[in-house]
Amino acid sequence: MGIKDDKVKYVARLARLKLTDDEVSLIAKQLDGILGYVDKLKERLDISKDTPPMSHPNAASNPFREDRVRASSPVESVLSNAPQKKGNFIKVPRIIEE
Amino acid sequence: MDYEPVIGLEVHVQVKTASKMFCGCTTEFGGPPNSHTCPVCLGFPGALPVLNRKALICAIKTALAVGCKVSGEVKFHRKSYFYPDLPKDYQVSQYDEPLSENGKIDVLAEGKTRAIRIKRVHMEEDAGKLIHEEGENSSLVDFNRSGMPLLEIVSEPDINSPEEAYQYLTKLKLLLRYLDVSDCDMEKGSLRCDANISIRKKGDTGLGTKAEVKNMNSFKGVKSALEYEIERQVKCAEAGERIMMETRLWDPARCVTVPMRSKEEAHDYRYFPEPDLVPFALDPSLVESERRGLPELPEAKKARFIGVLGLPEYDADVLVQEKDNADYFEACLEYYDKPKIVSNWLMGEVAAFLNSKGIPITELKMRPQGLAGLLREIDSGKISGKMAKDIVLEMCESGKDAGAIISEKGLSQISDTSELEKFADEAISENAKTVEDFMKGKDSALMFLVGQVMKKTRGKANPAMVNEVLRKKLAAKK
Amino acid sequence: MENLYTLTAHELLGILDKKSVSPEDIIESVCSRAAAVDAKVKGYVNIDRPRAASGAPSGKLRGIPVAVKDNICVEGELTTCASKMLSGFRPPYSATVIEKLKAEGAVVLGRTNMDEFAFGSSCEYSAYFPTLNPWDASRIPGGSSGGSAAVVAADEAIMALGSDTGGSIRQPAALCGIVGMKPTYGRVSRYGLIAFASSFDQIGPLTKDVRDAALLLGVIAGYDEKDSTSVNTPVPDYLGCLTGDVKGMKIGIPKEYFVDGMDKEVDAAVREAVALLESKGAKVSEVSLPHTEYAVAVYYILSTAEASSNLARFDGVQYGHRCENPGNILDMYERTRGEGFGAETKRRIILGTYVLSSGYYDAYYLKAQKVRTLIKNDFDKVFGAGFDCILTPTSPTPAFKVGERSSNLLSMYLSDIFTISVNLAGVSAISVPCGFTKSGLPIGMQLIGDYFEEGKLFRAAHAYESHTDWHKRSPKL
Repeated sequence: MGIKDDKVKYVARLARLKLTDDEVSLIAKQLDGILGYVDKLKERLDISKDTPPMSHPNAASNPFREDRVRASSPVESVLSNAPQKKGNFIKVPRIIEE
Repeated sequence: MDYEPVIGLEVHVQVKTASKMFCGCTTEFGGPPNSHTCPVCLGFPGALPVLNRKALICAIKTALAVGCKVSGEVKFHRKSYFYPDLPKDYQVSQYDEPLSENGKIDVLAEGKTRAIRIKRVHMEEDAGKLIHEEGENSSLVDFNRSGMPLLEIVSEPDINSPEEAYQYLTKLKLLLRYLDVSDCDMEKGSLRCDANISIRKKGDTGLGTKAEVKNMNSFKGVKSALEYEIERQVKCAEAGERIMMETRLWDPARCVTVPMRSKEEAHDYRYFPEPDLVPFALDPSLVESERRGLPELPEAKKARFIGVLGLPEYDADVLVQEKDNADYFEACLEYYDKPKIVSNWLMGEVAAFLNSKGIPITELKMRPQGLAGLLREIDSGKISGKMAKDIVLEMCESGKDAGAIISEKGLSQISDTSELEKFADEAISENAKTVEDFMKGKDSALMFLVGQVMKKTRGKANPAMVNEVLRKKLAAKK
Repeated sequence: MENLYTLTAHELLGILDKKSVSPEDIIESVCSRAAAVDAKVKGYVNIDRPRAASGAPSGKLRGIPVAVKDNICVEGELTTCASKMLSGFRPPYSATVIEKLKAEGAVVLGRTNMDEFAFGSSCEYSAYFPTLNPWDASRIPGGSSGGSAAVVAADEAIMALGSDTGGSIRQPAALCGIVGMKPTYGRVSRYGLIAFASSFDQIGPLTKDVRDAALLLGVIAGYDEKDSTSVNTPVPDYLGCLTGDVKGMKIGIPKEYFVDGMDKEVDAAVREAVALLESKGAKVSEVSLPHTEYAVAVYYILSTAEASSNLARFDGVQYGHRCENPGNILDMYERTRGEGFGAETKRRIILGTYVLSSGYYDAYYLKAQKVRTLIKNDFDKVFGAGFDCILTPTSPTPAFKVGERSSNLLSMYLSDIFTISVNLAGVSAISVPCGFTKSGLPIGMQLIGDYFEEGKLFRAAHAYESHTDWHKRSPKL
């Protein structure tokens, strides 16, 4: 199998997670262990093509709501946890778009 | 070497619901930043989405109107990517089981009607808005738009020309406005369009490398951007250069497309079923009742106006461009049975009035019954067509009916022969020279005399009658 | 008066109604107890000294102080999931369960420690400090609701709320000698629970006895229109199910749950409990849950996938930690998340992202979803054959020592082996104390019930409890 460090770095980039080199190596080893365990089990289990994948334990009771407007949050509460703001906007480092 | 373009369009429209896709925040446009938000559309930890039923209904209506097959199940997926305007860093959307697939829209362009296949229509939520300040090292985020309900409508790469793309968008907008699903206003952002375009040698059936074009802000912009892209790609091909698969942005100021600077690798969206929304079966009877409840669509309406009501194609075409106009027209016909006459007035005076005030026909104070009343007054000879043109303006402004205005202003057309004879006699006696000219064979001199009678009656005389009376009198003089 | 903190909620309600004590007395007693012993237990991350409501208390939990796990939002209160990523975070709204508690007169006492973002089985992964087992301070209390379990066991709280994704209520309850229940998925609203794995998570009670668990579940259960996964089915009268009688109840013992290598004392204690139930009229027989061995693997694929997605929102933009002086947006994301998340959290995010990534989705995620169906079918077959409950040990071992497993990931994950299938299927389960090891460590047994059959679980558990006094023992602190 072999989860290599490069793979972990790629996945860490997808997840926007900065890892030190040591962390990368450790996680690679640990993931390798876990996925190795999973793969062994997969070899033993024969899954029929008709088995449906399960995403939820039970059916939806009430899958939608009526189109009714409800009061929004007061803007102070929206911004109360913001690390950085300007006026009523949330502030982030500049995005270079084009 | 002759090349032909192959174009596919991906359109996002904002659905006209009162509240957002997954929460009760208002969808009202504008509003101070971050004032139309709540824990759900802000993606606060612990908040959960609940689907807006009206958004689902609008999606079903749209799917049916473009002939798509509606899925038996409603299922959502998470589409993951990181961006500051995306609060949860995933978008709730639909992936391999969209709400509907495989429809088509008929598009008339360059004299030909072609079917453009619709690959899919699905539901998703919108992201917030990023503002990049001039000269600042930061960007600002406003989440008012986050969570707004969107429909994504994807065409197959069937579109053959920039003009056809323009007509496709026009047709789509017309349809969606008929369904009252969306205003489709590109300037207000309720319709956004991305294009995929490639070229191939004429007669080839394969697909060339495509470029994705974004940032077009109007239907004309889409057409211009595609025209530019075709030229660019053809130049590339003829120079033996490879056409890159890339995303390009339309620059409306310089009228060119430029490659996006961001060096994002191809996104791995890691789609998986949205665990906070349980998939549910779509009741076929609900879909059926929506199908039955669909309004008559523009094409069918136009055909009926031509075939059944006998309108010329031009008139029918103009009237069906806005469902409210077509409805107003038909409402008039409940009180007055000459479609062409109604059409003339709607396309003429009424349209001019609406344009000058910048209001839609639904806000017009003169209602269909009123217009019908006016037209009957003309037919009865009580007023002339010319008088009616003034009256109709006042009807539009005030909402009063024709009869009331005619009485108030004493505008009844004089059709009583004896009264007219009196004025005719006056005109004849006052204009001996003109009479002489007429007697000598100058037929047009009569018009001058008619004009004199009209002046004397302050325009209230029935001109046709005046003409007749004068001719009789002059004939008697011979 | 001084020993109010040792009582159960139902006992306190009785005294309150007789007006022999006031709500303020109860809060005072519990807070003093916490002040006296929490330095040894470290179950709380925050105790808010709440004021009792003025006037006569009313509601099913009138005047009762309830400790709340640090991943359940309480408006305006620090809610951090025991993570640096949410340091300073005060949610602008409360979870539905908190609203329900308050509507029935309960008082939120404090925030209890947990494994960061609920990733863990020992409370060692908290960003603050590890909570210690009140029965033996060199051992872990279990996790991730280790704080809630420990404070109830130590009488630092009358009752507590926790969350259970793979056993996080039941396993610490067993290791701390108290009652803990994971309701059927969809029984209790998840609105306001900071999500770990959305199709597994449930909030549930941790209490000193079964009656209190029935009382607390009766308050927090119910359909919530703000949670699309909550189920609209009536909440039964759980207290009315406590008949004390198990005559005729059919109990299944799954052979896959009594394995070689299980702790012998755990094995013995659970078998004795089975014998007791049989002697009181329960019909016990062996059943099979054949896909049990795949449960841990399936769980770690599916739950980490969902978790990696649920934790994407912790990005430094709107709330929580943001790194200093980010150079650009990518830097902000990567450093913020690198600094804010602990090691186990990072591990699970990487694993979850990996199994969802292009090329691996079919091999891992999709396959795991199919095996999840097989595991659910195992339960459906047993309950379909007429069994009222399934009885298993809650944990294969009693509480292990601090640091013993944290370096062997797989062994840590396997400590959930008896509880995980329940979350995969979404059925209900309760853990009740059923003995102690020779060295005085609590042992718990688990009763698993069909969807929305918590009543049967309460009935059997209460009947068992009424013939034992494990729940009356207290750790020496």
